Amino acid sequence: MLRIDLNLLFTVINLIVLFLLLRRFLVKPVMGIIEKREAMIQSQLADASAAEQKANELKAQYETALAGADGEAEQIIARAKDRAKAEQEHILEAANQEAGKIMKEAKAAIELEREQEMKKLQNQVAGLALNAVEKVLSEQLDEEENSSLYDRFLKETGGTYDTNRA
Amino acid sequence: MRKEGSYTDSIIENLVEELECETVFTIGGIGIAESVAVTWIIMAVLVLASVLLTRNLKVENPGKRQLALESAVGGLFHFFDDILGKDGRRYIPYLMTVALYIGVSNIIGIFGFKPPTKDLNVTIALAVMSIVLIEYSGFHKKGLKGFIRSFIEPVPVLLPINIMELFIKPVSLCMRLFGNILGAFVIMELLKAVVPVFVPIPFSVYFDLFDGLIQAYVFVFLTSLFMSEQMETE
Repeated sequence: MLRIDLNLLFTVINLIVLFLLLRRFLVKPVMGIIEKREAMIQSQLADASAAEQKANELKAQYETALAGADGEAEQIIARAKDRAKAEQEHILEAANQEAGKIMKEAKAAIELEREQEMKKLQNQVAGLALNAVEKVLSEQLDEEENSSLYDRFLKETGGTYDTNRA
Repeated sequence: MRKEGSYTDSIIENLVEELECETVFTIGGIGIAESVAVTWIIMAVLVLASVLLTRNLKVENPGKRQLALESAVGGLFHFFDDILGKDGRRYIPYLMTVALYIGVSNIIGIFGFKPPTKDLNVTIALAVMSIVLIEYSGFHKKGLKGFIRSFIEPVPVLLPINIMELFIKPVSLCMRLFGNILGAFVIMELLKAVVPVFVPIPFSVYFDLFDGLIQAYVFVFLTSLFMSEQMETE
C-alpha cells in the first residue's frame, strides 16, 4: 500500500512536462490575450482622455475668442456711432453753409433785378415826362428851351428819387 | 456467523486490493505505477483541453467559451498574484499547473480511476517540488547571503527550527494531501462495498468533489503562502 520507488521520479518528470505543456498551451495564450486586451483598454482610455483634454482646450480657446468678438463688436458699434454722429454734424454744417450761400445769392439776384427794374422804370418815367412836357410846350417853346427844361426835370425827379431811396 | 465473517473478509480483501498501488505495466524492468499511468491520462486530457479551448482567442468580442476560460485562468492567476506579489509572478504558471493537476487528480475517482494523489509517490513528488520551489524563490529573491541569513531570522536561536521547517513543510503538505485523499477513497470504497446503490452519491459529492477541490486549493495556497513568506524582505 505504501510504496516509495522510482515512480516518484516519474511523477516529478510528469509534473515538469505538464507544467511546460500547460504554460505553452494554456497560460501563455490566455494571459497574453488578457494582457493585450488590457493594453488596448489602457490605450483607448489614454486616447479618450487626450481627446477630452484637446476638446477642453479648444472650448477655452473658442470662449476667449467669443469674448474677444463681443468686445470687438461693441467697439465697432461705438466707432460706427461716433462716425455717424460726426458725419451728421458735418452734413448739417455743409447744408447750413449751402443754405446760407443760396440765400445770399438769391438776395443778390433780387437786388440786381430790382435795380434793373428801377432803371427801366426811370427810363419809362423819363420818356413819359418828356412826352407830356413835349405836348404842353410844343406850341410855345422852341427846341432849345425844351431840351433845357427836360434836363432840369430829370435832375429834380432823379435827385428826389435818390434821396428817398437812401 | 461464518457466512458473515466471509462477507467481511471479502470486503477487506477487496478494499486492500483497491488500496494497492498496482504496477500496471513494466518497461525494461521498471514498474510503472497506476498513479503514473493515470497522471499521463490526466496530462493528455489537460493539454488537449487547453489546445482545444485556446483556439481562435480574440482580443475583441470574445465568445462565451473564451470568456469562461479567461475568467477561470485569470481568476487563478490573480489568486496567486495576490498572495505572491510582483516578484512571485514568474512562479504562477507552475502553481496553476499543480492546482489543475491536483484538482483533476482528486476528482478523477468519480470517473472510476484511482486518484494518483492516493499514491504516496505522487504526493511526495509534489511536496518535494513545492519545497524546492519555496526555497528557490527565497534564494532567487535574496541571493545566497540573504537566503542563508533567512535561517537565523528573526533571531539566531530559531536556527534549528528553521532547518526543521525545511522538512516539516513538505511532509505536512504531502501527508495532508495523501491522508485526505486516501481517507476519502477508503470511505468511498467501504460505502460502495456495503451499500452500492444511491447512498454513495451524496458522500461522493462531498469526498470526491468538495474535499478533492479543497485539498487542491489548500496545497497550492500553502505553497504560495510559504513562497511569499520566503520572499519577504525586512
